[in-house]
Order: sequence, then C-alpha cells, then structure tokens
Amino acid sequence: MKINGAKLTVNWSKFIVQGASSGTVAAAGGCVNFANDTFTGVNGTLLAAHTPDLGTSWTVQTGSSGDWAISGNAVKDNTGTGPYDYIGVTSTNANYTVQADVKTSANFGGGPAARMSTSAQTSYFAFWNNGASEWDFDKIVAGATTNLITFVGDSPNGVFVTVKITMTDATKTLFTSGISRGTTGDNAITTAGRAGVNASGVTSDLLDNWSACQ
Amino acid sequence: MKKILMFVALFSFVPFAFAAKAWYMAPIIGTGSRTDAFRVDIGTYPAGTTYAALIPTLPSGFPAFNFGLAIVSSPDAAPFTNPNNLNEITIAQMDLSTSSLPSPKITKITNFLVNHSMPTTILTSTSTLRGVIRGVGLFVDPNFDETILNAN
Repeated sequence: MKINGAKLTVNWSKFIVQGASSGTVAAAGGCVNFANDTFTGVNGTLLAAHTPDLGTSWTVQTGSSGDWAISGNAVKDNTGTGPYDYIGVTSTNANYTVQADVKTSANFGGGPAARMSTSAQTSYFAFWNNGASEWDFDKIVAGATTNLITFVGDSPNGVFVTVKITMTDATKTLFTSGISRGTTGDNAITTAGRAGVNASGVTSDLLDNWSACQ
Repeated sequence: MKKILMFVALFSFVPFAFAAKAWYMAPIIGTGSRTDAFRVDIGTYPAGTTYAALIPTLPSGFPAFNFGLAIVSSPDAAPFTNPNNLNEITIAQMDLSTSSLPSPKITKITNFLVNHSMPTTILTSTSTLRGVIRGVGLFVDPNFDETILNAN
C-alpha cells in the first residue's frame, strides 16, 4: 500500500514507515530499524547490485553461492543455490531483531538471518522447512547446521507469513505471524555480525519487507 | 529398539487444555546439512507442536555430544502417553520430587545418564525433576538455564 509516496507495511502491532532514503526509522516498542528493504526495483537485479531502503548494500556471505534477485518488488533465490546475504551496516551490539515476509510455492522457503559472519558461513537463521511443514530456527557454524527451535504449522505456501527472530544476549526467540513459538539459550555465536537473509535453494520462494531493528 | 530406548522424556504436564509439554533427552540425528540439520530425535508431532533444543556444538559446527535436551509443547498429548512410545514419562510438575517417580522411570533416567557417560549424581543429588534437567543441561553447557529453553 502506498500513502503519499511512502510504502506502508503493516507489521502486526507496529507500523514501520518505509520509503525514506536515509536515517533511522522509529518503530513502536522501542525497536528502531537500522536497516530495511522492500526490494523495490527492476526484476532480475541481483541483491548484491541492489540498494536497500536503509542499510547501504547487500553482500553474499562467504561459503554460499549464487544470489537473490528482485522479482515483483520482492526478492527470490535467483539460482536455486541457497545464498545467504548480509546487509552492509552494523548494529551497535549483538542484540537485535530481524524479520521478513516469506511466501513459498509448496516448497522450502528462506527467511531472516542474524549474527552473520562476514568471513564464514556462520549465523542464526529461520526458514520454512516444507518437507516437515514446519518453521525452523537453526544455527549454522562453519557450514554445519543445527536445529534449535521448530514450530509445526503457519505454512507460507501461497501466502506471505511474517517470520521474526530476536537476539537478546544468550536468548533467541522465533516468532511467526507475531506469535512467539519458542526460545533457546544457545549462544554459540556471540558477535553481532550482520543481519541478513537466507535462502533454501528454491527459485520460486519469495521474501519481502525485510527489516532489522534494535 | 536400542535407539528407541535411548529416548527419555523427563517430564510432561498439561498446563492448558490444548497443550502438553515434555522434556526430552534424546539422541541427535541428521547430517548437518540445511535440509537434514543436526536435531534432537523426538519423533513425529502434529501441527501446532513446538520444540526448543539445547545442542552445544564444537567450533567445527558439529554437536559436542551425541544427545541433546529438548522441551516439546504439543496440542496433542498422545505422543507423550502412547503406551507404545517408550520415551513417555508422565510427570505432573517441574518441581515434583523425584522420590515420587515410578521406579521404571527412575531406571530409564539412570540408564540414560550411564549410557551417555553422565554422573548418576545428577539424579541422586537432587530432589526435583528441575534439578535433573538442570544437571543434564549444565553437563553439556555450563551456561544452561532451564528457564530460557521454552516451547510455547
């Protein structure tokens, strides 16, 4: 929806006004965006060549291949290789929230990522595991993935579902559709790293309205 | 059979009409790939189920132990109480005295501790199930806090 040229995203209990080219965007609840992207652009533009609404640039994470690309003012896994991309701006500390809207076509889907290393395939991330019809919150350390939280349900097949992950010191929480699904105390990754996105290797899944706040 | 016997659900209760919770110590399965991640083997659960797991990993990303600790919340308590499911242990409260546990369940917990090279004092030195869960958690992760690990 557009109001006076600004794109308005309904984000459950809070509203985030997007469209400003620079500066921070205040959100209710004390979480202020330090990066966000509505992926408005020309179809086929790789994410690494796309300028986010807030956050300077995107970079494909070390250890992953391919890239996301703009598709219908959202973004999709362009090559089906499951790329992880991180935003080119740092948070002030390791405690922050990353969220995105995810829609799939009866396939695996991507999602938000946090505490992403810029030198290794290491991060916390959430994605839709279509094989088990569940949302998974995982950690990937040096390329090896471990499942930490699972919620069976809230399928994004054919409809956008908002998935959010929060990093608060050792506590990590998975939300879907604004509801807390589970919390883990895993703290294998303590550095702030970067916020970003992860893909599942399926070219038909879409991701939109990505943001990171603290 | 051995694999099934390794499952140990420490604790379950029914706090709400539509959800049941249980703590598990269970083997870790998976290869570490994105679609076959390392995870706690707790079986199959219906829609609406959530679980959260404690699986410490090495710098290589591989699990530090061959078992993990998990809390499962399910709208259907059947997986916890199915008599054919040997991982079932039905307990009423987190702070229930371990002295009230049925003998077979004490044996199951003890066997799991022994089979995974954990000291049996984790069971004998505490008076509550919370103490057992905390003991197992701290054995694999010195920063474990059972009040953080939660499935809604």
